[in-house]
Amino acid sequence: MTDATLGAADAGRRPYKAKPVWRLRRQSPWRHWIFLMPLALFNVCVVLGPAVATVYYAFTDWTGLQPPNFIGLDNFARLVTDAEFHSAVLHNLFYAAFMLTVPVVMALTGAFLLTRITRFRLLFRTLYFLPYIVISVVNGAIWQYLLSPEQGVAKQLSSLGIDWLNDIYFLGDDRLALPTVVFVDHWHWWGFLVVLLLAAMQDVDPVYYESARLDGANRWQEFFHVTLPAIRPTLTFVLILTIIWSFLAYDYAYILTQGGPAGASMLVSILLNTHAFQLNEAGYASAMGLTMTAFTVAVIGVYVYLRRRGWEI
Amino acid sequence: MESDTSRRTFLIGTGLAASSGGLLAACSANPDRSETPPPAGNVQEASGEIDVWSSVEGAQRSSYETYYVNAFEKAYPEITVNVSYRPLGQLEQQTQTALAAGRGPDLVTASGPADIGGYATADLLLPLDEYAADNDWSEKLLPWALESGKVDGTLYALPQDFETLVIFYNKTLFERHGYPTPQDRVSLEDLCAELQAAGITPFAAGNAEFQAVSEWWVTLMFNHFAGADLTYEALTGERSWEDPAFVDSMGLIKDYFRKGWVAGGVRRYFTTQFATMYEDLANGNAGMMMSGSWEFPQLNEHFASSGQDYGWFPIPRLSGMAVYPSFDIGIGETSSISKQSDNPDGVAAYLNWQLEDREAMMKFVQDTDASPMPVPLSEDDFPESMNPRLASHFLALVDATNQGNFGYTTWTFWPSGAHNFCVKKFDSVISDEMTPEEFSAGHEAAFSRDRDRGLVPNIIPRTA
Repeated sequence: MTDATLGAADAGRRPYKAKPVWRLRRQSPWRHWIFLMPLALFNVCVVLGPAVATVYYAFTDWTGLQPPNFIGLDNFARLVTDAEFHSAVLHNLFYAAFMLTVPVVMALTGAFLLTRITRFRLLFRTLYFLPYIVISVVNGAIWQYLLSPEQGVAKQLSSLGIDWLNDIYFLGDDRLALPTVVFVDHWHWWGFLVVLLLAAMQDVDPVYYESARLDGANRWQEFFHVTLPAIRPTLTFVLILTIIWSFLAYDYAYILTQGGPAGASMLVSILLNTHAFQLNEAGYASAMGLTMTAFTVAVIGVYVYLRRRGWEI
Repeated sequence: MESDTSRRTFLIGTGLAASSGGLLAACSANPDRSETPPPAGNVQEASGEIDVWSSVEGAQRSSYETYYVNAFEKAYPEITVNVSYRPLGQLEQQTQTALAAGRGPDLVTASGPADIGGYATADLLLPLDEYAADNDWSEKLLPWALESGKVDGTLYALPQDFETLVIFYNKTLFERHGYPTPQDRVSLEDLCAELQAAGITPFAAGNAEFQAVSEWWVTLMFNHFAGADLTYEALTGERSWEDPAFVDSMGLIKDYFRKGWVAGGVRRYFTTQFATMYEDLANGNAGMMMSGSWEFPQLNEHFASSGQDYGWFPIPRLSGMAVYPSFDIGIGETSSISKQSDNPDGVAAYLNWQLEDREAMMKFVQDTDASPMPVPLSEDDFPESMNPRLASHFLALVDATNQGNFGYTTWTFWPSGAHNFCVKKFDSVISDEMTPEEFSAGHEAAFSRDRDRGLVPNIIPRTA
């Protein structure tokens, strides 16, 4: 390109000259690190640093106050025989099993239905997402009230002559406490999944749907044979996120039941908090946290392994 | 433009950064505390600033600032108190984290004698013996109070309040039906049966909001069925918690829950919140409520709404092993001086002033119905305008402790592991998931572990 090709609008500007390739290669590759440094430092201080410190403290008898002493694998040996920890892990696995099914199925259905309507789509999307943005303490207080036999839905139904909820203590019955906590958490979580899956569904090329219709597919066949395969990467991401967050679940269990009654809804996160701050066993709590991290890493590891083996997930 | 940064370089860089962060975190976790603190100075000449963390909230905050901050600064104009408010329930956790990092307030607040042991063992607190001797603190506190703040013979904390468990009752209901206030097990059980037959829940109770409500029942049964003597022996290691007296005490309370005398049943106990408890008692849906000195503000409010009257009576004697009346000593808050403090004399001046200016303390008590410090109180200390129930409550507590008629609350005298066991596993007993024998065996195991770790707080002997 020469100066003669410049238009009148470009008159007065310095003519562009392409830089030779050898000059590009000499530019420092560390320039982008300078821009990444603030975020990297933040992550090191807030995330990576404490994470590495947790690994260290897991092998000590640290109380949280006194200098730690190295005790090898004693904390992990204790975990093997700690019935309370085993019970909490089982509760977390139940949590994960529920959250991998009910909210995901509801979110897929909700998102698919949203793609099929044109009117009030934004309204429904907002209503689905609203519980997710309300702070968990508020959500928990609302559900505590709703589930209270003396004040909530049971009392209102009873005033109408419907008594079948009167003797059902959702948060006070050790058989119902954990499912109730999981249900409340799912009620706040599924709307977030709807938004994620809806975005993925809207990215699906309409040509595939047209082709399917031409082949005689109905709506559900479109969903199973076009939509689901097309959103598989997003769905896999959602499932992995759900597993990880199920192992990290804390706030709703703590707000609603504090792990009770009688440990019926105890989760590893609550148990870990108890050992760290009430029992002054921060080293043991670190070992607990590290064990849960290992579970999560194992899940992600399986996913990465299968992807490398060519599985399309 | 192609980047020369490969994945290997990125991973190496991140690993180095993470290791540095880990080293920094590990190195900074425990600051050097080997310095010998300077000798105690004259608190009357103290000056400067002191940092205080408080969890006082709501309506009590203005009274706290008036009577515990402004009044002190008026008496000690050279000292400025910087108060930082922390959410209730998080103060202790934040204090622990800050102290471990070499930070935190000058005045360290803990939830009671059982918690200061950890701080003292970690060398985070300043010994107070010199200040106590120089300022005659033993004369300004009840005889047992100074002992409660000692760890291995050294004074580290002063109690900021004292409290006990009693039975609050709907006086209007009792007078209407002619119910007597029980003093022993037989009369208590007769009353419970009579109330239940009349469709009234004998005891309003619930731990939906605060799981540790369960330990109040453990305290009640150990001290008023097994008896304070046996409880003292078990706390000091002279007797096992598997003694039949403690097993039977758990069996009895389990029976009371099974009969529906407490909260109307186990599942209702797990779902009942404090507001429902107070309303049930104030409206006459429940006859009694077993709770502590901290309930006066709430009961005043709810009974004012219902227009009925309430009173309190000591916990009945549930077996021949107990005495009546006996009041279980609880200390909800202690104050200590941080070893990191730049102004220990200033903090000591604040603690000393609290013990000396009884007028400010009683005005705060009158305003808020809070518990006073464990100082020798008489009727003259309580103005006529003060809640007469509260006045009689603390006068009775002072009188009983002076005569040695007191027991031991789990949140004050139990070490952390055994305390946590009582809170969590009581629920298992009343839910039929654990037998009283299993509870006692587990309690003994937890207590033994704590004893081996040196976590048992100083147990005050019961002497007149």
